[in-house]
Amino acid sequence: MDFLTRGYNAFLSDKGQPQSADETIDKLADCVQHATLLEDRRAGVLSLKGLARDWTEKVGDRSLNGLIKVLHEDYKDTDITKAVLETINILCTVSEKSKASGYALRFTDQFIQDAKNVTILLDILEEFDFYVRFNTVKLLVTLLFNRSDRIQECILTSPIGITRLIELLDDKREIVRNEGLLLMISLTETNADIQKIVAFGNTFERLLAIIEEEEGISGGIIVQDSLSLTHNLLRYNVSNQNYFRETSCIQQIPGLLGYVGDSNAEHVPYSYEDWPTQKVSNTILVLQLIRILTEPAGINTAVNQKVMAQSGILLPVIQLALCSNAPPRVRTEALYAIGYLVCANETNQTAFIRTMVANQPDFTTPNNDITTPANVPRPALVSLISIAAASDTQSHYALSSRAAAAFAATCCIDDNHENQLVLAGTLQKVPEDNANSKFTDKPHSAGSLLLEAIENGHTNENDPYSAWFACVILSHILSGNEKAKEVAGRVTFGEEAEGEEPVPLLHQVMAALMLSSKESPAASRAPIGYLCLLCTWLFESSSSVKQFLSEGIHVQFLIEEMQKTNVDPVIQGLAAFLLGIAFEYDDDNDSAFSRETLRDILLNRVGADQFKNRLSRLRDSAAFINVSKTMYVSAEEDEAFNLNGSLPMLVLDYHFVELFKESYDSIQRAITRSPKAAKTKNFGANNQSSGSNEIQSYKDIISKQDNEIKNLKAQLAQLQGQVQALTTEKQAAEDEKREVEDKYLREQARFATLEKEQEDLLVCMGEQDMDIKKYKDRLRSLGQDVTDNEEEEEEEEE
Amino acid sequence: MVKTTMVARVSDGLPLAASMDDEQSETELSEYKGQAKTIFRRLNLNSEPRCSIESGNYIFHYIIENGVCYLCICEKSYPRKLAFSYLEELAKEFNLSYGNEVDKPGLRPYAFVKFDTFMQKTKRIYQDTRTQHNLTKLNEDLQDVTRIMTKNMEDLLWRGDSLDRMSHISGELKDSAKLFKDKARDLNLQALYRKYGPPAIVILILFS
Repeated sequence: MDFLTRGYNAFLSDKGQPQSADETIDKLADCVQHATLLEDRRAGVLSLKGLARDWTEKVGDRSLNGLIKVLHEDYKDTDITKAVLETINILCTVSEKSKASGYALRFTDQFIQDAKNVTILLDILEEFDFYVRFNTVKLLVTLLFNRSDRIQECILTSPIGITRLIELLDDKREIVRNEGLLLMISLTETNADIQKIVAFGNTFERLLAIIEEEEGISGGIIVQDSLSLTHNLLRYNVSNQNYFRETSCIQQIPGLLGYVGDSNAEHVPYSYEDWPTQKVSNTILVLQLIRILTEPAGINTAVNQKVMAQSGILLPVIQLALCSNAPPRVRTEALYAIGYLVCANETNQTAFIRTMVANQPDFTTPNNDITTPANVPRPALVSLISIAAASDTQSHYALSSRAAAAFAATCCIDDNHENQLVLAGTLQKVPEDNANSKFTDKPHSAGSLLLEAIENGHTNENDPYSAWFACVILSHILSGNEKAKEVAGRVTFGEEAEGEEPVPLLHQVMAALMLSSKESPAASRAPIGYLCLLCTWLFESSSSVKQFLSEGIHVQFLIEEMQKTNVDPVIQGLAAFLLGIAFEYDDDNDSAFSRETLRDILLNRVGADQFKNRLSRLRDSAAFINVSKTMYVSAEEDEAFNLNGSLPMLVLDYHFVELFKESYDSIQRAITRSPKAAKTKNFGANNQSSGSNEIQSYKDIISKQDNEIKNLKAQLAQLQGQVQALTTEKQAAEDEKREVEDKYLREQARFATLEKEQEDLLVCMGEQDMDIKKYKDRLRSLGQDVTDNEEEEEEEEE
Repeated sequence: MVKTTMVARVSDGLPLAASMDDEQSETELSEYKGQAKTIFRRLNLNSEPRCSIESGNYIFHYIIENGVCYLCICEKSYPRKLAFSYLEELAKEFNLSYGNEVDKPGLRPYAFVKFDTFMQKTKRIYQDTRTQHNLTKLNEDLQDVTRIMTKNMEDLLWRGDSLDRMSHISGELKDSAKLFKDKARDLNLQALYRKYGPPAIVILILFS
């Protein structure tokens, strides 16, 4: 052994002869493969390890098979295993050098060709020695990086393989544990089977324990790793999500986020914290975990939402989103988490709306007297809307956060008629009672914030989105709720006392639209918002349509807009859609434009072709196709907006796009079917009365069916009674039959005994006959006369 | 002898390297390793650059150099001089091989596992206190170890608590002092009444 190392050393000093490297490697490979002494093999492996860095390809070509053989045979010896693992790891690692010839991948393939090689690695993990474990995990990570599918397959074939890997997470030595975590993360990325096995090995609890040990969310990168492993296990994997919930891990999430202040206080207090980058990424991961579990329209979403709300998750999330100094990325995620938590869940919506949050304290004027009402708590929803519409003067929010706030607000409103109505009721302007007051913040309600943003949106050039967000939120308030539309229709602008004529809100929106569309197309988000709002408002609401048509200029403006050539196609399409809706739902006979006039105007000035073109162009536009369900604004878009004011891809609201898709056909047909327009109109007019007739007839049918059902039920009861009676009868008959049978058997038995007795008697009689004959013979021999008559005979005998 | 050694970044307590121990000492020392981590977290750039901390049967020695803290856990009987010279040797080598990588952002914990080999080697040299090499070290007065502060682990860990307790007790004291003051005033008044009450009443009766 010594001579070999010496030889190797001698070779090292002799750098001038590259040929001898080949020879040495050959010799060493031969030694590793064929040497009988463990020491020799060990020395060979160590030397190969030294050579592997510089002559990777040659060493791999000549000796990989030998190394694998050693691995199988000598894995009990820690020293040699350590060296072998390290050498194979060097051979398989893809480096700059190996990329060109690709030998690292070739060696990987050669190694994992036989699944036994991977199995032996998993067996080696049993060894406690640090370097053995560490190198094994390292090698597995390398192999997984190169050929993940095959390795996953191999690991799955080994019965205890995954359990071994999970146990790595329990290793006291943090280095091994950390490497194990990395290995598990890359292992569970895609394979659902592995995800399941890993999750069911109690991994969630282990991970939560690790997170706790590493100081939770403010901990280091290990916390981030643990959280990303949790993500891997839960994302797209419903059974693991169930398991996560059933092992009551959800309850631990609020604890991870942490909450500053008393949770029983009347309002959520403001929290100041340090936000190092690691904490930011950890917090974002936890918030995304919440989102993974409450994906809208998921199977488990409702249950998860309930459990989360019960475990008190809302407060910390609200604090992060609405009253903390969290950086924009965290705030955005927290706002989305709120949206996901309350989406389509009435209890959570109510809980959220009831929450009061502290207002943002004023940092700009630190010497201000404390009596300023800036710190008055306000409802969480108001806070959301003021973030979305950027009504807070003292703080600036990123566009992505504002989009998220708008999304969360719409989630609170959707599918909840009560909330829609309550919010519609708050659509009042704040009275300007104290015009001289120096305080800029008046006590705002949700509705007044919206109105203000809608009214002033087009004037604010630096902020093209505030009107858009306000319009989206308002359109969600009105969507599909006739009562809310009525309430909103009664809202008026302008002070009557000051001689201004009151203008209904609908007209005010239209006026804002006209003003905003005159400006440069760069600020074109506001008119789109207005148009979407109007479409949702007028949809299926003939009274609103009537109010809309009462001003002739509205229709004229829309038609002009459609005919212009230099206008955004989205706006033109929306204008066409709005006109189509107005035409379709213009049912009221008193409206300013009857259906015929409206149709004539449309056909003469725009034409059916152009109308259709405008609609389909909107449907095919990028803004329409790429619409985001969650109003997502990426961080890059955010940055671009801050840098040079280029607008993000956020153009349309998903809700509106759905509405458009649903009604696209009917609106388009309403125009193309123009010759029959009168008929459709009649049909439309009759719709209501015929509707009630139909309902009556249905009611009749239902009552008839009801009676029938009743009759049938009675019959059924009767029949059932009969069946019961018959069965009891049958029972009785059967009993009787059984009795008779018993009797019969008993009789038979008696008969048999009697017969036997008779037989016995007969035998007896025969015997006696014989006796008699004998006696007779005796008597005869004695010389007495015996008659054949028996009686005589007997008498004689006597 | 030196039981285990840990190296960490001072600014955020991120562990950089640690010596690998066998199974037995691993389980034996797990509690103390936890304490060592708490020490790392509490350290900042203004902390004592050299310190010894007693805890149970063991003693922790650490030095801080170039924003990196080198800590070893030793038996109580192990000479401090040797421990500190061991740590210094580590610091020199570590600074040489990894010094410029320490402050890189995005460093994972235990990024310099390979330093373990050097630590094991050095540890072996220092294992026996009676070898010539170590004896000379002991006799050399390279550094004045006696001036290095010795603290107690308990104090370190519970200092915050005892401060709390102190403030609590002083608060109580203040309250009871106030109570005492009130009572004293009451008593004074009563004494006054007793002294001048009867003559005053007599005079009143007389005059009426």
